[in-house]
Amino acid sequence: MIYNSFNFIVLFPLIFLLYYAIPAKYLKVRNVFLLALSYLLYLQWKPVYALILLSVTAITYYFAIAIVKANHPKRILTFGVILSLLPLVFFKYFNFINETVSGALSTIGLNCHLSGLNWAIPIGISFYTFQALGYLWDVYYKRQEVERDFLCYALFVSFFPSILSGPINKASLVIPQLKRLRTQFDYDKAVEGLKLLLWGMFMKVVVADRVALYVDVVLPHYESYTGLSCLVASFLYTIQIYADFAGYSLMALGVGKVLGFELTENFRRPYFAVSVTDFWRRWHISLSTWLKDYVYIPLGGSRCTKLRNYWNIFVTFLVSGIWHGANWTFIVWGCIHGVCQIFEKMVGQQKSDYGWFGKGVKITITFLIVNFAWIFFRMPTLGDACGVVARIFDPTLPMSVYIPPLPAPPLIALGVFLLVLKDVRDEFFPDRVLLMNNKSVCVRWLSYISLIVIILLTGVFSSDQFIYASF
Amino acid sequence: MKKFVLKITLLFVIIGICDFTFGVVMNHVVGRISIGSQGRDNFICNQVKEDVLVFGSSRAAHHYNAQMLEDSLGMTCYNCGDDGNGIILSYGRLLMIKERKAPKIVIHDISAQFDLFKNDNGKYLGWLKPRYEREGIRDIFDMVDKTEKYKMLSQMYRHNSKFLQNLVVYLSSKSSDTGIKGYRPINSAYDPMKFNKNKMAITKRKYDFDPLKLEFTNKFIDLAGDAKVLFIVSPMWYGSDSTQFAPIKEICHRRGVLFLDYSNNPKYVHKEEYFKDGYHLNAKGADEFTKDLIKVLKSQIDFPSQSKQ
Repeated sequence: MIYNSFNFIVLFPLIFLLYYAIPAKYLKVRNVFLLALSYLLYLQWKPVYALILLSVTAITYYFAIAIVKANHPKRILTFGVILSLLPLVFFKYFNFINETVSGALSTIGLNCHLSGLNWAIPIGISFYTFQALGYLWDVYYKRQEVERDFLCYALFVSFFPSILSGPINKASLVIPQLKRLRTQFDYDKAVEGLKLLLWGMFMKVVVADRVALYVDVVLPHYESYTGLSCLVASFLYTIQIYADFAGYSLMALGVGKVLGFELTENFRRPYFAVSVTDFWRRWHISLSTWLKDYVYIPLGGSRCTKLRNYWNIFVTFLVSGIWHGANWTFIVWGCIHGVCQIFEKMVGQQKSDYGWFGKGVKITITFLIVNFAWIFFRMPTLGDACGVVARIFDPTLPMSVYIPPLPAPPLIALGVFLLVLKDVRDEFFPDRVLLMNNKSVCVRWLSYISLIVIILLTGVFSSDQFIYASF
Repeated sequence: MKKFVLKITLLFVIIGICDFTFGVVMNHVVGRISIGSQGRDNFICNQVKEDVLVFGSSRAAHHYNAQMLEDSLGMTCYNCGDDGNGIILSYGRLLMIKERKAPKIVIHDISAQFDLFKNDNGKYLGWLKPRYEREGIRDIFDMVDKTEKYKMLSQMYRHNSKFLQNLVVYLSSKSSDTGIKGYRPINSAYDPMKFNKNKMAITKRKYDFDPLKLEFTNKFIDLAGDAKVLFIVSPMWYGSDSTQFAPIKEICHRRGVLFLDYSNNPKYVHKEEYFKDGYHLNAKGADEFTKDLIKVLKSQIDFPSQSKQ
């Protein structure tokens, strides 16, 4: 469900009322309602792709049961993982593999090209596949009890707040909540959820979508803009992707809380990270946790030789790059992050402490590295990404910046300023200048009203899809 | 639960009051602006009574010298083109102008992006939002998006994004360019950065045409009534793949409307002296193009100035 759409604003109160109309003691009925709703919302997009969601659910469900019973669970696990990954590989990577292989073959004179697929990638496939695979591995490693209630498991995989773009929840977090008798209505949790929903909406429509109006003008036509304009656009893209994805994640968390669920926290002010390693503790936390648990640690983690450890880090971030998309740009993006973390480990960057000044320098350097890597993430080809970088560093270009026509500049400035202000407060002064959490009712309500007014007056309401929905 | 629902209801009531108050203030402000883009829009929607009207995107606004057309044709002329807009806004504006007077010649400059291809049509409603209550405008919103009628209940949504600019213009009353009879000449010099040499070769591709925009094109012709309607593709430095204009050509052919394509005219293609960037003529180019257009118009239409002679 697209949270910044009109449909959501109309449907969510209805979902809320219907859900709480079911008495809490009828736990199963509540779960059936949520499952039916999750599938109905998924069917809205492309009905046939719900079969893929169902098949990934069924495969991981039955293979988990088989793992528990089997004498050779590793074989079952391997087979289950391969089967679950097939739809993802087929829909997301077929064209990329096909083109890469045929390109490689043509260099040695072999012409073997299969026609590419012109199908849309099933929405959220990377997220729900990884969530289901995580469960399968957890059952294999005996970190999670096998779930025999198919309905409950299917709801865990397809739960509508997080199916589109995560967070990639762990079974150990969500399944117990689905099985436990929930309270009829948790007032504090619901209010907390609405606050998250409101701030998430602000991040998406006031910051991300507004900043996108600049980024989408400059970066696709970077040859027509100065290096300084490209640099500004790259900074703004760094803000856009954060506001877009963190905004979505907050809204998912908020919707979950209003319905009485706790989902995985996905962001913790990532641009205040003091190293790239620290960045990944704050950015897309559910994915980095998944990669740590199911790629990095099984490869040996840090309990091995230094060289092997560096290799493990590199492979983990290579997988992260590949997960994001079937394009060399994502692979390079993943590699940049991997190499930077290896370098940090080699020089012991995280152990050094030079006080506030040193922290400021580290934050700035990390931000610049992350910003540089986002250029590869954003551009459609490696050539374009290199083109943008070359333009930024081209001293022969005029030192002018493209300023979009009014009213864009003040609205971009307002959104970014408020976002930075909130993150600075949350990071460095968490107990000061409380607005939405102030003890005074007047201050709290004034904050809610102001935020809603800002959203209505300065938001971009084109119901644009979230960036991560395409992954 | 009851407490929660009551508080949410109270919040919505407060927001509703703020929204209403804001609407009253902004409607007053917008209605009184006579300068800048909003002033130009107010003039087009409330005062334009010219014989020759030009519609379209920024290419229309910068390419058609209204004063020149007026002087040469012996008819009053106004350029109603606007940045980033196309047939949907043109239809709405013509609808409002026709409440006062039927034009004699209606020119629509075609930009494939805004008049033919599929994209978010909601963005073309921006200038029409404050005019939602005017006759026929509501139907345009309904055609573009059925949910717009609910969104338009909010006055803040109606004035979204533009409120700051409008308030500043209203309070400062600082004069800004509204154009010469709506025409906005580009006097700045040729900008080599704005010419993408990679685009020089015209590439043919499969186009995804928008049936809604084509429906508005037909409605636009109907609305023009007895006026002579012309659809024109003005010059482009790059040239263009003319197959992208096939649907509009077909409509023009079927409806007996004149279609002129200058996009591949060798007089303009790759001639930097006429352009500011790849898609926009500078003032010199606009004057040259308007002269060419006047010749065609004179040969096609019987004008009062000609009949006097």
